[in-house]
Amino acid sequence: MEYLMNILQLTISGLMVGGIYGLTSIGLTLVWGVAGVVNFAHGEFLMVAMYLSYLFFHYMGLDPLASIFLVAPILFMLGASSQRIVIQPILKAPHYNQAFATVGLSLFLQNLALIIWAGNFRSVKVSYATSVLPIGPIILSIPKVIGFLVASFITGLLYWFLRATYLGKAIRATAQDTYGAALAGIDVKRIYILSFGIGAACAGIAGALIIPTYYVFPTVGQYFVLIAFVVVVLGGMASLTSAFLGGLLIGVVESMSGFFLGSAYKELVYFLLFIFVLWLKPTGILFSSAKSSWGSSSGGNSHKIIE
Amino acid sequence: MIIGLLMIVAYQNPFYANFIASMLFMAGLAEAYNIIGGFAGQLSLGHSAFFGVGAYVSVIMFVRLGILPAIGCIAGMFAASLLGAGIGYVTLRLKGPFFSLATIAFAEVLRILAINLRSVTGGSVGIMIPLKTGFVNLMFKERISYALVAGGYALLVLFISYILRSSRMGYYLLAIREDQDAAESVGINSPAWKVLAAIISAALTGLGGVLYAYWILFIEPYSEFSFEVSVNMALITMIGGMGTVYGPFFGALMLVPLQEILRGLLGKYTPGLHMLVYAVLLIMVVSFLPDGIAGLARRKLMFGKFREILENVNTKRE
Amino acid sequence: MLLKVTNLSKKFGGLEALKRINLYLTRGEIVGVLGPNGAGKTTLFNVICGFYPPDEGEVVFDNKCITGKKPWEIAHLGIGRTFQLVKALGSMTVLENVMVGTLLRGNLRQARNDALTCLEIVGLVDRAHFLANSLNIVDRKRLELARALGTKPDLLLLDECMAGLNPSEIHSTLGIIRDINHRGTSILLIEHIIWAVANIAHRVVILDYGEKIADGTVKDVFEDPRVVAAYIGEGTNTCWKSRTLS
Repeated sequence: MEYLMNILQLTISGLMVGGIYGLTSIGLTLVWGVAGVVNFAHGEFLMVAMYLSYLFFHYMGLDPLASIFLVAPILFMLGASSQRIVIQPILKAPHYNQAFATVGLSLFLQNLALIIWAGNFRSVKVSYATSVLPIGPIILSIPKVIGFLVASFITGLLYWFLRATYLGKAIRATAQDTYGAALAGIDVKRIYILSFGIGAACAGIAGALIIPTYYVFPTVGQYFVLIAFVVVVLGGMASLTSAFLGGLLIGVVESMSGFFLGSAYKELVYFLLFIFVLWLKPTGILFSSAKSSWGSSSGGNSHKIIE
Repeated sequence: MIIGLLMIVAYQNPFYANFIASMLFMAGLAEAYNIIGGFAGQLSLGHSAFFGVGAYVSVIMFVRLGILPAIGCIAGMFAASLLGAGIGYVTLRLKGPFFSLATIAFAEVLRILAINLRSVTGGSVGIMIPLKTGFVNLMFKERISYALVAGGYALLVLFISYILRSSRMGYYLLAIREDQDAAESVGINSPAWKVLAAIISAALTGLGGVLYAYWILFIEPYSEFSFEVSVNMALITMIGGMGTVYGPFFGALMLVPLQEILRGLLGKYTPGLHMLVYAVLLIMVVSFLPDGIAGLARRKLMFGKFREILENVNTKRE
Repeated sequence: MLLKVTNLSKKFGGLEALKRINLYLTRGEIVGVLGPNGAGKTTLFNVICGFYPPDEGEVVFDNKCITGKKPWEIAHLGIGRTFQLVKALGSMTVLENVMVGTLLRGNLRQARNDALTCLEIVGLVDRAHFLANSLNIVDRKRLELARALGTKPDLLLLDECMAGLNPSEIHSTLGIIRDINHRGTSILLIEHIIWAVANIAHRVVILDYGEKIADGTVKDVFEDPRVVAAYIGEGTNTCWKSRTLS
């Protein structure tokens, strides 16, 4: 019985963290699916958000949750300007050039952080950082629960946005067929900028949610971006919900393997899982037909991101 | 022509020798990477796996089992080739970003293993290599000898790259890169050739890993298996000119000095500033020179008549 | 009998692209494969060439069973093909493109010479050192043809190689095809341009919704009422006759 309780506890903790993973990878998916850019700097967006949260906390006494209202717009601007400055000039180049440009961007942001804050680990100590909410035999960590709830809420919000608003539909249209969308009067370049902004904002919110429980340092983004990639492949770019579910899955996998194999090997498990999934289904689990090659931007445009 | 260049470059005093060695090692690694990244068109971002495996296998054999580095080198290359075959096979059906991500995953797996299999690999602390000079130990007293070793390595890989490109394999790999379906329809067994390219690239990268390890005399998981190492290889190849024979070589010759110069000029102000500038330059080069430097050279030089002369145009039967 | 296709079926999810197709081709023939869009013509080619395995049925080429073999194995055995969406190897030169094909049958030196011959047949030899990217669509189709020819196929599968060409370009392509046929290669071609097919094919096969609905000489087939209903339509029936040249 106790064993079962253990498993349940692990699952729940995993789900809580998974929510945030899901949100992060939704941001990545959005950019990848709509603009076709594999954004290696996505983790750095998260890192910047974490630092911003830290700043707001230390200098304004602002709780990370509240800082979301500041961090999200700032990250949106960061994402949008990244697209405008770095990617837009090379939209016509092969996609791997754009990906390498994002690598350059990630290096830039990492070193910027290094210059401003040095390599020390920083953290935010909120009053409720160690509070727990016991539900029966299960113990829930409050910051993580909050993180999960907010992440789920934002995901739901995004889902509604993409379905119900004109802009949302424009984004989906562009993801499915860039030329068709352009012919229908959609300003594709603006949509790219918009989706980059939203994607970065997602990473931003995730960052603000994570800071109570994680340290921030210049290269923290690398860890999260790899998880985000794993989630994107597992959950797939097929839909928002599947990306979120993928995040939950990875959260649980990580939690379980952390317990059974020790924290050293938990990363190993999801990397191996990642490779295994790609071995079975070369375009990830829930893809239908994906932007699966680095070809020039005029080719390979059949792609479904959101049904 | 290239050999001449190298000779000039290698006859330097000890102060430069280190720098030149590092430049030439990078050149060789980039050329090795180019076989998969450029010729076969598969952008691996996990090549550090081969680099690290070559290094770790031969160093472990030397330090723990007392086997001569020169022999361990062969073992290291062999291990890297096996890994290359394995990764090549598993990733056969993967395209574009998925291939790249899978290679990243492989390198990460190795990095985690290196950190955790402490008894074998020394864990995160790594392994120090005791200096025992001698040709068979691949270790030397003079700095300049390492520069020569690096130069020899770079030349070797460049040579192999050149032979490859003008051989049947070169044509086939390029065809696979351009359009795999079309290639298959004219009889090219694409899985076989892709795996072969992976093996060759891995073996040469592994060789670089071994030689480099005996120069630095220290190996640890981060410097052997990190994403940064992989990205560096890919970046240099890309900026030099992915898919060309000489591009990666010259890419290294330009980028490594650039990094050093930046570090020299800016490193004293704040840590990170030189990399920041490097990052900006990188973004600019990627934006303005999509074909890399070699691509630029090609476009400027290769026009009509000039190209004909250079390529010995001949529409007559031989 | 060079090629014999028996009971070939292929499903994609719920869509039955090919339903028990039977087809044959004798050495030296030029056979046209016609039918409305979506009838399964390219799928048929893809199955014959090994890009998809069939769900049912078999393909026998030159007395060897090639069902389910890989595309490169089939190329080795002597079937060449062109693609509907032309697949030029962009960053390589015209000559190199064709050499990729001719390398199948010889070493580098022979491949080069053979490639030049192929380029002569299709009329691209004066542009041998141009980058494939710089060619227009007409020349790319020729290049596609030359590359397939390079493998010295006994059977050549041409998928809409004349689509989008103007009448004089179609005529010269027909000439090239005839030339190839005279040199000993049998040809199976998918085409929509009926007068062109009428000009060159010994026989035609009509597919509709994955089934074969007619098989015979051009004249017989186009007077078959089923073909008229499914494909040609009334009224336009005589149009192709007037464009026929001998």
